[in-house]
Amino acid sequence: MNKLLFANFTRLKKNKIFWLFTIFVVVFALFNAVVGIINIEISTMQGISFDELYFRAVPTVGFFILIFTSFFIGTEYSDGTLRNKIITGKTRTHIYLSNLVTTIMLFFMFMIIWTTITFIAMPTVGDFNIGFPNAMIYTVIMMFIITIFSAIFTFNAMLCSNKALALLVSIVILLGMLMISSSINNVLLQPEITEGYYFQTVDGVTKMIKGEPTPNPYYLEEGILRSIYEYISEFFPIGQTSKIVLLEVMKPIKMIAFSLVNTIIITICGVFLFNKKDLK
Amino acid sequence: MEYILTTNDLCKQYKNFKALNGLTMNVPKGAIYGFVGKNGSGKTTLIRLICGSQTQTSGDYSLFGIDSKEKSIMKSRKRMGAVVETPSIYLSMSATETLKQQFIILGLPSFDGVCELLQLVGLENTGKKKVKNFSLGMKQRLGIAVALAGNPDFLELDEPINGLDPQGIIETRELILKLNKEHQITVLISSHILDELSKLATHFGFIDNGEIIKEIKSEDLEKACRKSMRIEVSDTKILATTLDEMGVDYKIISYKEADVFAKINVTKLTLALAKENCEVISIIEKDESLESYYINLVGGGTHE
Repeated sequence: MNKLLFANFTRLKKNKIFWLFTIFVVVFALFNAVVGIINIEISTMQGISFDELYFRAVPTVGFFILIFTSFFIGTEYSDGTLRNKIITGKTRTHIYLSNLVTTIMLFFMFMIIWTTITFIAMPTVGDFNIGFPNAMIYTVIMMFIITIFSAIFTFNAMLCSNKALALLVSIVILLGMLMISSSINNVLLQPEITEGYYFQTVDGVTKMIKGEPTPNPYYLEEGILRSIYEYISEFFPIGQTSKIVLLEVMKPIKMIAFSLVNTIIITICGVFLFNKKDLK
Repeated sequence: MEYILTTNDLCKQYKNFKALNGLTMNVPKGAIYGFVGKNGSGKTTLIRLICGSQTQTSGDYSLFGIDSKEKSIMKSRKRMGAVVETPSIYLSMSATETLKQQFIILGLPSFDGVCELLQLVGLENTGKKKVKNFSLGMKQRLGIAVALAGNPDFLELDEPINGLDPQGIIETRELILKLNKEHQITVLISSHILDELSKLATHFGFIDNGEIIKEIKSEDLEKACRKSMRIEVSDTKILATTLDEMGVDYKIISYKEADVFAKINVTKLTLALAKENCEVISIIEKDESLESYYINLVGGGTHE
């Protein structure tokens, strides 16, 4: 498999998507750091937190991984070069895993670039509000999110022989996850009690009056259903992503375990199906 | 005889379509094996199976004596190169980069053979030109170079001259002959351009509806495709008697027509027939080609 990995990394050097993403990550990270510094320097109100700067790119990870896998792996199908690997006696399992590892390694590298550049803003913006140990835990969760997204989109790209179709299916998968996660978050984030405000005119003067606290009918009571919703929210990488951005990670081990188990299951299924697939 | 590839009752079913239907064939070592069949007859399917791109539904094959069901079949594939349908090459790379990529996949310690391979296929002067800007012939030759990167003993070429211009066809033909004669590479070449195959192949396998209907050496095929004359006479019974007396091979086609498989003296034959009151109406010289042989074969004609 080392030869396949080396071949993939060599190919990356000639890959336009790779260079485009690298430039984008560097420019976006620099822009982000500079905006953070400027915001602190000129803002009279409370400035942006370092947490916000550091985790700003998290929601884009899935999208970039889907683009990369669809094109990088899709080219193996469209140019027919996957055959060369098989003819030379490489096992399909190794071919699959080498593509998965390449994707994971590449996005870890992007994460390192992002982290390094963003840390330029730290002396000005300040330390993590959540504390350095928590930030490290969040970073580890982030690495597992990269892994699970890589597993999902590698699975799709390896099993879909058509590059355009693979891209389309990956987008549908991502949008599907996004819709499910946002619907679930919408329910979970409902407050238990709502305190409405209303306007009242007394003696010609209109005032804003705080209403009586009333139970929110959309609040999901603690119980099995809420547990299922929370489970699904932490299960999907998109749900995990939103928890990181909102700095609301409560059960980091559970989230890491979900990502790890899902990655293993998806990869085992992917390898099995790829081994059975008739290639043209 | 030593065989590089043997298949035994190989079947491949795609949902409702049976692409290979008990195919049995033998590719001898050192041969250029012309794999002849119409579109959809199963040529590419067989090549895909041998390459490991697909697996057979039933039956088996052996490559370099190793059975397809053994795990070591993967290792035996390392001694093989293939160009299946379109050449497998990265379009965004140059010829040199494409070959280097294949060298890395193969785990070769250096890129020493890249220039020699490019020279062998006549692409040494392509420089940094991207493969996507190559002509079809150049792509085809680069595909062959990629297939040759692992120094294979067996080369599978699926329709290598499809879409090539006359110059490209000649260059590819010469390359294949060179690889076979100078590098002792056994070649399995599938094509439906029969005239071209007849200039290359030492052995032929005719495939129809997923099964081999005839395997034949080129010299035997030449004999089968011997020259003949179609003679139209007033009475073939008299012609048959005369030809028997002359000791010539023939085949009666109808009451008035017969094929004569020899170069005979027409005056002598005409005078002999005239003596028996048999008129010669016409004589047409026929040269049965591989094409007509194939048509007869697929159509059920006999050539034994």
